[in-house]
Amino acid sequence: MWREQAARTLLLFLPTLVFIIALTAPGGDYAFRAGPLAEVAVGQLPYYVYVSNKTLHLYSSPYAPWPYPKAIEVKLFYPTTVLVSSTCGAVAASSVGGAPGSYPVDVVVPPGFQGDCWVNFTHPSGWRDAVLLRVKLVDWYPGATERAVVTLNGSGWQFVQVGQDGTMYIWERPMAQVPVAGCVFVYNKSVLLTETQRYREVAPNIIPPAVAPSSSGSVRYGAFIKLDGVSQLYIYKADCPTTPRLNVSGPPPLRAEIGVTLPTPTGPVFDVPVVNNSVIYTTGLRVINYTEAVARIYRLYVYTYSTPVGLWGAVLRYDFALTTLLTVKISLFRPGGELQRVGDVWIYRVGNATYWIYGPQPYRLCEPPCGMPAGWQEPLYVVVDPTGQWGGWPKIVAVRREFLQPWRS
Amino acid sequence: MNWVALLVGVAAGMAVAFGRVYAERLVARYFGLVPPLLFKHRDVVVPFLVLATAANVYAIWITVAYGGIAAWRLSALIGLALTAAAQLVQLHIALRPTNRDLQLALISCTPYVYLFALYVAALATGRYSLWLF
Repeated sequence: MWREQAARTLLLFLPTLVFIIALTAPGGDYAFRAGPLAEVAVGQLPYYVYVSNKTLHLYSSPYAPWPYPKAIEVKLFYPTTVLVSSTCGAVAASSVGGAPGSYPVDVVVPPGFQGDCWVNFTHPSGWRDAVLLRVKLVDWYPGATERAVVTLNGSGWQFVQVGQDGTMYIWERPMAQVPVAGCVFVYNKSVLLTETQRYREVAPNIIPPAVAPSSSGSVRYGAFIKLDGVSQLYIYKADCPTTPRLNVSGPPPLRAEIGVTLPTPTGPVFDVPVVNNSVIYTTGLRVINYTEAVARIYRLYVYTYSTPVGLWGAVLRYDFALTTLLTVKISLFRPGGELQRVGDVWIYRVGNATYWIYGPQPYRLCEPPCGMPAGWQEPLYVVVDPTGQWGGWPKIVAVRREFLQPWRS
Repeated sequence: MNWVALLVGVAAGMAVAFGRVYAERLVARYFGLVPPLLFKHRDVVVPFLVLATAANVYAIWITVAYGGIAAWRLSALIGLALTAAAQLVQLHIALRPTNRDLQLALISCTPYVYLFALYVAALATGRYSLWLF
C-alpha cells in the first residue's frame, strides 16, 4: 500500500524537476548552452600594432613599460571568472569575470622585453584560450606615435626647450620649429629629466613676443643635453616622466652696468633701473628669478636662471619711451671687460667667466651723441659660462618628423 | 523561464488529459460502471498527464534551445529520445486506460530524472553545460 502511495506522490513530483532546472540554473538564459565558456578576442589597438588571428605584433621600449590599454577582450557567457596569466608579466590582472559580459584586459609590455609572450586564459573546467604577443624592442618612447628628430651640432651643455606651438628654444633663444611638441626628450639613449614652466606675454602684440616665466600661460618643456659634435635629440609627445626635483641654488645677481646716460638740466645722469617687482619660480631643473625694473625713460623685464650644470643665463627685454633725447652711452648689458663680436653673438670675458650674448649690440658709446632707442628692443639672451667650456649656441642641422609603423604587415 | 513553451505544454497536456477522461468513460460504459470504481488512481494520473506533457514540451525546448542538438551532443540526443518515448508512453496511458497505469506513468518519468541528474552533475563539476557527454 505504501508503495502505491509513494508512486502517486512521485508522479506529481518528477515532472516538476524539468521546471526546477529551468528556474534554478545559474545565470538564467546563459546556463546550459553547448557553446564555449568564453571567447577571447582582440580589443582596441593602436594603428602600429599588426594583428593576425590572435597574434599581436607589439613593440617594447627600453625606456618604460609600453601600455596597450584594452588590447584583449574576453567575452564571458557564464557567471564565472577566468584566470589570466602571461609568460612575460604583461598582464597585471590575475582573473577577469564575475557576471556574463565583455571584459577588456590591459596589456603592459615590460621595458626591454623582446620575443614571444603568451597570455593564457584558463578556467577550472578545462576551458582554455591564449593570445600570442610577438614583441619587438624598438628605440622609441612608449605610447607616442610620432617623434621629432633634431640634429644638433655644438659642444657643451645646452638647455633645450620646446613650446606647445613647436618652437624650440636653446638657452631661451628661439632657434627652430619642431613638428612634435612634447615633454619627453631622448638623447644619447636616455630619457632626460624635464621641467615644465609656463610663460606668458608681459605685453600684448609685441614682435617678437615679450615673454616671461609665469605661473599661468603656455607651457614649455625643458631639458639639458651635453652636446659633443653632431648628435640627435628625439622629442616625443607623451606625458612627462616623473622627475625628482634637483637641488639648484638660486640664480646669481645680475652684476652689470645697465642703463643709458640721460641729459638733464643739472648735467648728464646715468639712468639706472630700480627693481619694481621680483618673483622666483622653481622648476624641476632651474630656479628662475623674474624681475621688472623701471628707470626714468625705460622699463626693463629681465629674468635670470640658474642651472644644475654650472652655467647660468638671463634674458633682458627693454621697453624705451619715445623721446628725442640724445645720449653718449647705451649700456644694455655690460658686466665688464671688452665687448667682442664672434659670429652672430657678442662676448665679454670677465676673469674666467665668459658672457655670451645674442641680440642687439649690448654696449655702445656714441661720439657724437646718438639718438636714444625707442620702443621695444630685441631681447638680449645671455649665457654665462664660468668655466670657459661652453661652445656657444649649437647649430640646428636638420629637423625631421618620424612616425611609428607596424613592424610586420 | 520560457512562458510560451510552458503554456504550449500545459495546453497540450490538457488535451491529452481530456483524451484520457474520454477513454475512461468509454471503458467504464462498456463494463457498466462509473470510472472512479474502475480506475482508482485516476485522481493522480489525469493531473500527471497535464504536468508530464508540459514537462515534455519544456524538456524539448531545453534540449533544443540550449544548443545540445545543434552541437550533436550524445547526452542531448539521449534526452530527446527519452522525452519522445515518454510522450508515447503517456499517450498510451491516456488512450488505453488499464490498471497498470501507475507503473507505466512512473516509467515515463525517466527523462526528467535523467535531465535532473545531468543538471546536478553539471553543477557539481562546474561544467556550465547540461550536455556532459
